[in-house]
Amino acid sequence: MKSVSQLRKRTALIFLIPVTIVLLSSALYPLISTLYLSLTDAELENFLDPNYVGFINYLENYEGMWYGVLADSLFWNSVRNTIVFSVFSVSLEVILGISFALIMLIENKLKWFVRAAVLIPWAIPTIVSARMFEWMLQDQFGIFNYILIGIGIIEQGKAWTTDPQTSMIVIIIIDAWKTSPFVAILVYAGLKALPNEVLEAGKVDGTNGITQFYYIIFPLILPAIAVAIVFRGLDALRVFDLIYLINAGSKDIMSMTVYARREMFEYSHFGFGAAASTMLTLIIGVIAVIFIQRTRLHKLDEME
Amino acid sequence: MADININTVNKYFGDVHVIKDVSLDIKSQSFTVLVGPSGCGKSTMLRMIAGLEDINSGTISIDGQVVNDLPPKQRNIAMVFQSYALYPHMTVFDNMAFGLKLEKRSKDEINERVNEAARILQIEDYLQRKPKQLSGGQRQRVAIGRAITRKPKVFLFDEPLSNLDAALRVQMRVELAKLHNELEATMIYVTHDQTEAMTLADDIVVLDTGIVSQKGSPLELYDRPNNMFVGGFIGSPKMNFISSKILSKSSDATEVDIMGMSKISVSKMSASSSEGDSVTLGIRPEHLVVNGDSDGSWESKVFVVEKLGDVTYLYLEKDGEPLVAETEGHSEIKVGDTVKVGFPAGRCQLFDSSGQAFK
Repeated sequence: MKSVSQLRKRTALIFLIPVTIVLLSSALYPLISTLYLSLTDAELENFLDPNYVGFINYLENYEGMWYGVLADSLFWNSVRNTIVFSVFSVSLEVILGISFALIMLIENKLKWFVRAAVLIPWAIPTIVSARMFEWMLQDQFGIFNYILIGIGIIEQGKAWTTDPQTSMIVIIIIDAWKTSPFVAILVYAGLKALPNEVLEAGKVDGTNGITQFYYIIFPLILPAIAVAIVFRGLDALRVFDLIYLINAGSKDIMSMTVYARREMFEYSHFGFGAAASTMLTLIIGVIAVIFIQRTRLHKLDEME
Repeated sequence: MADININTVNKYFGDVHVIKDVSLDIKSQSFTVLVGPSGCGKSTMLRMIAGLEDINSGTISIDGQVVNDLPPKQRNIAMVFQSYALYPHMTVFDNMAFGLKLEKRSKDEINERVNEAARILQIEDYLQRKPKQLSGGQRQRVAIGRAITRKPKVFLFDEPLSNLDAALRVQMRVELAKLHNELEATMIYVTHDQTEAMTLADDIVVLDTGIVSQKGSPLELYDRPNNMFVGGFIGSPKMNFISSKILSKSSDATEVDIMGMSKISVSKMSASSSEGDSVTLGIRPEHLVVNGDSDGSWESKVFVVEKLGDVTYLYLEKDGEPLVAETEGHSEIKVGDTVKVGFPAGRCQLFDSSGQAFK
């Protein structure tokens, strides 16, 4: 006779099999094969039968010169770009997201319109929003330059997306426009779950709009904000589509993913590109662990 | 001093008229309980006094000042909520200090007042804990403490004990009564529990679908209910209601019949009544005399016997009219026995067909 708890455990294990298979084949296998690829000299000609070369794709000293991903200034430039992009875009998205969420909370006849309007940018495919912004920011015919020239701020059209000084800012703004709704939804859900009596107790205690937000609402939606930051942060660190679509070749905005893709598929340096991908995974992993530790996100239940 | 005057106040939620021309005078330092079944408007009434609900018409004044348009913080009130409504991210100390911090009181004063409240409520040991780490009773004390620290003129309680278990409820009830004596503040207390109302109140206000059904001291309401609603609401088990008929009227008494079995002369009158009218006779279970002599009587089989130790309740029924009678704890009466129930005339109430009491 098997005890009930043993039976329950066995049932649980059976249910876990499908997801385990999916995870192993979709996540673990590519991860391991990339790791393996990064230790080989794989290029287009010998892709199916590469030679094991150790860590030279990462770092190698050859006749007094350093080679490999870690010695490539362009790689470190892409790391810097990625981090700058992530920090600024996520910060902007959190601020805008909270603002949108608070606006969505206002009860009036326009609320359905407001909610839909807030969500639309999130629903537009990146390729569409990228092209849309590209056209709006275009130096000769773009509406943005047209307006700026019209009100006399600039004399002639500026190529915002290719100018080294502005391209990163433009990318950050497009990303914020596109993904603030995501943060807004998470924060909105957090706001909706606030216990009404607690807010009323605050009113009786003498809060006004500002003190209510600062002392009561913000601390209580902090877990929702932390979740939003983790999701958005990990997304931003992996940013590819937007940057690739706006300006694939510019080193001013090149992200780690764009760098790895270029090495692999443009230069056919599969081993080298795999090494860059592995570094990308490592860097994101380390940042994620530090962030989750710092925000105590894994202890969310105890935060209340 | 903080008298509260409520003058012909009306409140609508959309098309629903929830408070209908309510006028109430609440004396300074009194303990007033608003009681009624759910949906009667008692919580809305309290929230209007607190300033958490707008008033559609009429005025509410505290201490002579009309407060209709003042936000809660300017009304000099504190409120204790049913769900305690503690700030979950703050410690007990910070919960209690929050109102004072917003008033920008000095650190010393805040410390002193919070510690004083904590001492009164015996929660000094939990000051550094978060609400989540406290039991329901402790949370309720913190909620009351948060109200005390601000030294308001008026305390508002919205069903504060209804989330507690029965034993704790009795204990907190006693402590609230003590607290009221200690603080000498005006307290308004909303509950649907008539025991809380009876035990705590100086004045009970019975609300029925947005109307004040009766206001008075607990014993006034118990002894002389204005109408069937109050009669049925106050007292547990409920007052018995028996359909009856007026047999005759004299100058100071009305004679009615009891189920055609006997008649009884109740010294209460109603000018609008006349012989032959249908009336309802009301009598509380504890006033019925079981198997003894009385003014009028009724005989019936016993269907259910509830032994509570101190008393026994007998559930009787005759021709579709149920009756609950109370008798001594160690009664020998069993299910199926026939008992004779006596109606002492002095304890009987009469209500006309619209439910209004004979005086």
